[in-house]
Amino acid sequence: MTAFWVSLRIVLPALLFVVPLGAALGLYLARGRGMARSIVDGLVLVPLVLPPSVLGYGLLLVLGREGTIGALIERWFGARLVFTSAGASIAVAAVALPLMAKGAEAAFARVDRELEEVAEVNGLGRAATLRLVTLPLALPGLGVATTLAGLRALGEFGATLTFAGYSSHTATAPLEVYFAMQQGDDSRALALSLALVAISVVAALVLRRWSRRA
Amino acid sequence: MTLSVDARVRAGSFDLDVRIEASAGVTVLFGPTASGKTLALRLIAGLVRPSSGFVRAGDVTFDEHGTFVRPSARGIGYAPQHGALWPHRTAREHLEPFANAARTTELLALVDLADCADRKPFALSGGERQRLAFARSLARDSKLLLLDEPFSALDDDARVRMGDVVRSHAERGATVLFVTHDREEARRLGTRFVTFAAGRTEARDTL
Repeated sequence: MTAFWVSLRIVLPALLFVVPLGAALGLYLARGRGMARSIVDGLVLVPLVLPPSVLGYGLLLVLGREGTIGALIERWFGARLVFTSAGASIAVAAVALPLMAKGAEAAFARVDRELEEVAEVNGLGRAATLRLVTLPLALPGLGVATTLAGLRALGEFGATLTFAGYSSHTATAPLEVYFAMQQGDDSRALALSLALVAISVVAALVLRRWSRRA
Repeated sequence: MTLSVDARVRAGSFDLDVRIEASAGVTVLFGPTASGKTLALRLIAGLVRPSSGFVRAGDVTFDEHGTFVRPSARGIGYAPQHGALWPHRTAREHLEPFANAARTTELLALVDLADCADRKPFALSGGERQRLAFARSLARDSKLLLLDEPFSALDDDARVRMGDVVRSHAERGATVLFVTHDREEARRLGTRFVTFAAGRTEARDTL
């Protein structure tokens, strides 16, 4: 069970960051136009198409103890990210963000523009239109995107291991499966794997329900 | 309020050269389907930009060269062609963002929807949906009303009643642009007419 607590302590903070940022990116991708949108679209996709180990290595180069930003963080705040749950959260967030952003883009793109236009012309500002019209209509799609991003975060292995390493703070369920196997503890590896499968099945059922509504 | 439009606007391969002068009263935009009437309303609403020319209301320039007033700041009441009702909101909730509770109740009664206040669009008939979209356009008591075939799904009696509501709004000083391709309705409501054909407009006193 410890492995799942570690996973939750890493995944939940990551999602607190990924969900709003990914939704905002999705809104921009669905409504934006021109060159800037294309560039953002391309950048958002990069973590999705890179091997997770390469992404983790990239994070290490930037945020690791020797990294440009990582060294500054250590000097100013005396904190380091490698081998900490915060570091693992960053790795997990980097991998989950594209799924949230692309899922949110699809959710917002499905909202009929005319429903927003009629709100605006009748006098609702952009924020009120977003709150009263766009977000409620995109909500089922945003639920699907959040679930997909959450599942990807929960199953993250490569980037977490490469960037945050394996320690008591970063030993998420997928990492534990791998290290239990390495240590010949097959029953532990099997138990963790079955639990991950069960979570995925439940999530898939929830997704099916939400997808129908979206 | 005097509305003054002299602009060129393009939508896909369709070019429209639109000239409209309208003041308090009901100006009917009349013409066959796909003659640019809706496009003209969208131009005035700020939903499409002109390639040249201007859109002005009173002393305010809505759209010309670098000047652009956001749709929400134009003080317009708008009922688009197919209503564009919000599927997740009840009839009452369509009006609440624009009017207080008393005015909301009054408006629902005005368009014969008092009994449907808590229904969502899927539970309303075609005519009820159009009357709700019309009520929403009235909710802020705007001085400029853009109504795009607002009563096409109503029976004759309801059409006449809702037409009276439009006229009384205009008599209180509002400038109403009313799109229709129904000649009888146009003559009944219009005080001035703008006809649309072949990508051009023509102002007329009679139809």
